[in-house]
Amino acid sequence: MSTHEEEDDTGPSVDSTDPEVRIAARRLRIIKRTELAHRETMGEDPNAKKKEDKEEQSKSRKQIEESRQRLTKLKTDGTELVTNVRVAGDSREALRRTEEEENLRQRTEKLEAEAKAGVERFEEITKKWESAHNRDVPQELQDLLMQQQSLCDAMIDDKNKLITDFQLVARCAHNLKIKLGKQEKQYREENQNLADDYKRITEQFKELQKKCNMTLLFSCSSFLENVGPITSEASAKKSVSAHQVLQEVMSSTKSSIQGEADESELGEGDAEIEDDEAKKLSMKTIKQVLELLCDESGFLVESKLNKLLQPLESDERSLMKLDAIFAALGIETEEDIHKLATYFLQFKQVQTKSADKAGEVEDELALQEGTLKPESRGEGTLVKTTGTVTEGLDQKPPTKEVEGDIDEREADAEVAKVTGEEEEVASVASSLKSIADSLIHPNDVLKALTDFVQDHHYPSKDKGKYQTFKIISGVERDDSEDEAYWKKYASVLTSKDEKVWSALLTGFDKYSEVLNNRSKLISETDALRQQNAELRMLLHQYINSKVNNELEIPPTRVLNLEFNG
Amino acid sequence: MTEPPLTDSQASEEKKDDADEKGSVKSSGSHKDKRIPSPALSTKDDAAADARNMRRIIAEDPDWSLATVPLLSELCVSHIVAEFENHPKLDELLPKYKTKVLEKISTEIPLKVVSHLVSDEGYWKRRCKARWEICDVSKYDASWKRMFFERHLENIIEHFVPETTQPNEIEELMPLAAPYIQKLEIKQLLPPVKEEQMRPLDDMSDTGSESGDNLPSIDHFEFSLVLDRLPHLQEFHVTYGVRDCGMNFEWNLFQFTNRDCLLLSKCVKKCSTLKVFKLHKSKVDDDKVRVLVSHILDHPSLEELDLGHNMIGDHGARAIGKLLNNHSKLVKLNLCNNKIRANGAGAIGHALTKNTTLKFLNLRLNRLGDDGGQAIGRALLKNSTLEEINMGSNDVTEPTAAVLSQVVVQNSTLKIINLSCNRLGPDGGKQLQEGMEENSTVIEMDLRLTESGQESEYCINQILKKNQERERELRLGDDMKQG
Repeated sequence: MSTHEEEDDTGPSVDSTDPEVRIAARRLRIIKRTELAHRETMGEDPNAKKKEDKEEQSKSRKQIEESRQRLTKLKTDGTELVTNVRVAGDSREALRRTEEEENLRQRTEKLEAEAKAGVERFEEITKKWESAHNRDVPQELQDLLMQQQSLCDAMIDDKNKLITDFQLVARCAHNLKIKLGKQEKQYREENQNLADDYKRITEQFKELQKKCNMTLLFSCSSFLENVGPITSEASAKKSVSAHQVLQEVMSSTKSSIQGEADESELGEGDAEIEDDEAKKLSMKTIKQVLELLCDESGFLVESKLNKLLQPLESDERSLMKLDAIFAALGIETEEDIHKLATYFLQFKQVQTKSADKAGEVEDELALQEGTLKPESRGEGTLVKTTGTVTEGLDQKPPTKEVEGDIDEREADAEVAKVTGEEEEVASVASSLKSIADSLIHPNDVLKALTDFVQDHHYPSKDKGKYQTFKIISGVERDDSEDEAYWKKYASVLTSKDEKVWSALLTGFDKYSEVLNNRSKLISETDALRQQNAELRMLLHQYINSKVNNELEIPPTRVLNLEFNG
Repeated sequence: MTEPPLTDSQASEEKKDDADEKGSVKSSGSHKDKRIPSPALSTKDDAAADARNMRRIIAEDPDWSLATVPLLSELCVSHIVAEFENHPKLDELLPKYKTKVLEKISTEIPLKVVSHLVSDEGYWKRRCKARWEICDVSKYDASWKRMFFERHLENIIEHFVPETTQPNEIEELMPLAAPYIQKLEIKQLLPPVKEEQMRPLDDMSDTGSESGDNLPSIDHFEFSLVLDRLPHLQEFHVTYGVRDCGMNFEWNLFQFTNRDCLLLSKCVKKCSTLKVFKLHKSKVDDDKVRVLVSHILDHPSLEELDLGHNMIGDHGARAIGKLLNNHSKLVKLNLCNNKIRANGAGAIGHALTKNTTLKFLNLRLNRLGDDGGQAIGRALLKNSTLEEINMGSNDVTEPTAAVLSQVVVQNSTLKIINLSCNRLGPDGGKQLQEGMEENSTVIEMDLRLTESGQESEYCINQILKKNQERERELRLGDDMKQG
C-alpha cells in the first residue's frame, strides 16, 4: 500500500487512466486538505488553549493541594488521637517507675544507714569485749556484760523495727490481695444467695399454685357446706315439717325465714318488735359485736397485713382489721353491719331453737326478751317504745312466762321512768353485762359468720360458683351425705298429708268443673232472657200499631181469639 | 460425549475400588469406547429405560427425574473426588477436570495427601475459611496456602505441652509444611504440666515471685524441632507466656528459662534466612539477652530485632551495643519497655556512632535519664544513618533537649523524633524550637506531655509541616526522575 500511496503522491495520479487510481488520488487530496486546515487551526488555537489549560490546571492543582493538605491533617490528627491513649499509658507507667525508683532509693538509703549504724555499734561492742578481758573484778565484769547485752538488744530491736516497717509496706500489697480475695468470696456468696433465693421463690410459687388449687377445692367444699347446714339441722331435728322446708325453699334469706316464722308464731306484735330491734341495736352493742368480730375472725385478715399492723396502736389496728374483715365478708354499708350484728344475736336463737324442739316459741320469746331487755334498760329514750311493744305483747300473750317477763320489764321501765337519769349510769353498766351475756359465744362466731355469708351472698354469684365447682370437683366431692339430704326431702310430705292434698286436688278439680258449667249456663240463660225481652218488645209493637184497626180481622183479635180459645 | 483421558493406572485402580463402575471401566485400558456405562447398570438408568418402554408408569414413578444421565466424565470426577483421600489424582487430569476436582474435594483430607499435590489457591482458601472465621490473606502475601500452613503450625506449637504432647504430629507435619512457611508468629507457649505446681494458693503470697525459680525445669517447646527445618523462614515472633490465663495466673506460667533461651538462640543462629526476629513479653533479662546476642552476632540476614517488653538492663544493653557495633545488618531495633539506664544508653550510643545500618531505634519506656538521653543525643551528632528514634517516657529533661537541639541542627538524616512523656519543660521546648528553625529534614517530632510550652510546640509544628512539604516534593522529584 505504501508504495501505492507514494506513487499517488508523486505521480499525476488524478490524471491517471485507471479510474480507481484517480478516485484514490482524489481521496488522498481531500485528506491532505483537511489535514492542512486542521493544522492551521491547531497552529493558532493551541496558544489560547494553553492559557486556559494553565488556568484550569492551576485551579485544579490548588484544589488538589487543598484536599491533600486536608487529608494529611486528618491523617495526622487521627493518628494523634489514637496514639494519645498509648502516650497517656506510657506517661502513667513512667510516673509509676519514677515513684518506684524513689521508693527504692529511700529504702536502700534507710538500709544503708541502718547497716552503717549497725557496724558502728558492733565495733563499739567488740571494743568493749576487748576491754572486758582486762577486767578482774567479777562485779565490774558483770556490769560490763549486762551493758553489752543491753547494747546488743537495742541493736536487735532496731533491726527488728526496720524489718517490721518493711513488712508493713509489703503487707499493704498483701492486704490488697487479701481484699481482692475477700471481695471475690463475697461476690461468690452473693451469687449463691441470689441463686438460692431464686430457687426458694420458685418453690414458693409452686406452693402457691398448689395452695391455689387447694383453695379451689376448699371453696368447692364450702359450697357443699352451703347445703350442709340444712343437712345437719335436719339430722338434728330428725324430721322437718313440710311447712318449714317449704318456707326455707321459698325464702331467700334466713332472716326472712326467721321473721316469717316469728310472725306466724308470735303474731304481728312480735314482728314489730324485731324490726325495731334490728334498727335500734345500740352503738354499744354494735361495738361489742365488732370487737368480738375483730378478735375472733383474725383468719380473714391476711397474715401480711397482720405483720404490717403490728406496730400500730390497738385502736387503729382493730380498725384496719375490721376493714379487712368487712372486705372479706363483702360488707359495704352500715345496714350490712346491722344485719351482721343481728346474726351475732340471732345465732343464739337458731342454736337454741335447734337444740330444743319442744319449747321453740318460748325460747325464742325468751331470747327476744334477752335482746330487748338491755335496750329498754340501756337507753332511756327507748323505754317508751318498749312500753308500747309490751302493750302489744299484752294484747296477745302466747304464754304465761312471756307475760311474766313482760310484766317485769314493764316494772323495770316504770322504775326507769321514775328514777330518771340518776339510775341510768348504773343501768348502763348492768346492760353492758347483759349484752355481753346475750352475745353469742366467741366459739360460735365462725358459725355465725358462715351463716351470714351464706345468707348474704348473692345467689347469682353462688350459681356461678356452683357451676364452676361442679366442673372442677365432680370427682373429689364428698357425696356421702347427699343421699340422706335428698331422702329427707322425699319424706317431707307424709302419706297422710299427701292423701289430703290429693283429695283436695280432686275435690277442687271437680268444684272447678262445676263452677265452669255454672258460668256457662249463666251466660246461656242471660242470652235467652235478652231474646225473650226483644220478642216481647216486638209483639207489643205489633199489637199497638194502627194497621190493626184498618184490618177486617186484626191480628190482635186473632190473638185474643187464640188466647181465648 | 468426551471421555476423560484417564490413564491406565488410574483406570485399573478404579477397577479395584468401585464395584458399581467395574463393568464400565473394566476394559478401559484398551478400548476407550467401551467405557460408556450401560444405562441399565445404575438404578436411575433403569428407571429411564423402563420409562421408554412403559410410558404410562413414568408419571407415577417417584424416583423418575428429568435430569439426564450424568456424563461419564462427571461420574469419574465425582468418583475421583470421593476417593481422593486414598487415591489422589490431580496432575494427570485435564485442566477442566482438575478444576472440577479441586472445587469438590473435601477440606478434611489429610495434609499428607494434599500439601504438596495441591497448589491451587482456591482449595486452600476453602480450607482456611472452613477452619478460621477471620482470614486476612493480605498478611500472607495473598497466599492462602502459606496462610494455612503457617497458622496450622502456629496453632500446634501454641498448644504444645512439653513432656505431654507427643512431638509426632509436628514431626509429621514439618516435611509437608516446611516449604510454604515464611513466617511464624507464636503468641503463647505452654509450660509443662506438673503436679507440684498445684500448690495451695496461700503459699503464693509468701513465696511471691521467687516461686518460679524454685522449679528448675519448666522449659517450653523446643524450637529446634521446627526452625531447623524451615528453609524459607524469614520472620519469627515468639512470646514465652500464656494467653488468656485469666484467674489461673501464676508467675511461673511466664518463665523464660535459661535452657529455653539457649536453645532458641541456637535455632535463631542456625536459621540463616531469618530477617525479622521478635521476642516480646518474655522476661528476657540481661543474662539471657547476652546469650541471645552472642549467638546472633554477625547473623547473615537479620534486619529487624524486637526485644520489647522485657527486662533488659544496662548489661543487656551493652551486649546489644556490641551487636550494633558492626556485628549485624540490623536496620530496625526495638527495645521498648525495658530497664535500660544511662550506662546501657551510653553503650548503645557508642555503637550508634559507628553503626551504618540501623535506621529505626525504639527506646520507649526505658529509664535512660538525662545522662542516657545526652549520650544518645551526642551519638546522633555523629551518626548519619538513623532516621527514626523514639525516646518517649524516658525521664529525660532539659539537658537532653539541649543536646537534641544541636542534633537537629547538624544531623540531616533524622526524620522522626519522639520525645513524648518526658518533662522537657518550657526551656527545653524553646531550645528544641531554636534547633528546629535551622532544620529541614525532621518531619515528625512528638512532644506530647512534655510541658514544652504551647508556643514552642506550635512553632515546631509549623517547621515540621514545612519540612513535610519539602520532603514530599523531594520524593515526587525522585519519582519523576525514576519515571
